[in-house]
Amino acid sequence: MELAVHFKMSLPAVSQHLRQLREAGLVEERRQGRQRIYRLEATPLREVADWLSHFEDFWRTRLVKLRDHLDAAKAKPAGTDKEPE
Amino acid sequence: MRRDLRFEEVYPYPLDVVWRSITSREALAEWLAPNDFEPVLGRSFEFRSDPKPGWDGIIRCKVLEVDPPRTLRYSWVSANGAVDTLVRFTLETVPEGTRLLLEHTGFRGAKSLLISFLIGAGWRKILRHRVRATVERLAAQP
Repeated sequence: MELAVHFKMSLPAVSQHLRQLREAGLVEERRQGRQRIYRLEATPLREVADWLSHFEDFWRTRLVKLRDHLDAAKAKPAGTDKEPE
Repeated sequence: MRRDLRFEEVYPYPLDVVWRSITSREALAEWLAPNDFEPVLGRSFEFRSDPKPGWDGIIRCKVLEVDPPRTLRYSWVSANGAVDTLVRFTLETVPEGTRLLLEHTGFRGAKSLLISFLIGAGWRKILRHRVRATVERLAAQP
């Protein structure tokens, strides 16, 4: 409940996400009376903590493609669609 | 945690050629992704990649700034809004040709990270991997 108030989604939706996180080993669940206490499992999270690396790889690949595109456009005579030999 | 990405490239081509490559639909399709981009302020467009489990492959964008032939900025939203970011291209003439500065900013902290875990493309794989590791660990216990 305390966790759920931080998200713009329903309580069952948060529970669902927490269940998936628990199944994935990312959080640990402990029951205390009617409450469920969740604790973050730091190790698997740390593995992906630098989630920007996903986008970093994406752009690095794309920028190489952009360079290739510019090189190909330069090598290609204007008005033809044929790839240079 | 880092929040921004910044790339700098110098291309041995004139400013207008590089500008065309980041604003022409055909050029963008060749190096970035198939799209319906138009360099018009306020215009919404999409990049469409192959869908992957947990990701529809669509990046929803809107042109926020277009100042030919130097500045182009658009919003970059994917994974049901978990990735709600900004992309900006800035071009500048340099002696070697054209310098392209690419900034991808607005990545938020842990909240979007957690949501991305569940719906992002790469994260599905990680989760599956984790599930297996967890199952194997449990199975190994007496």
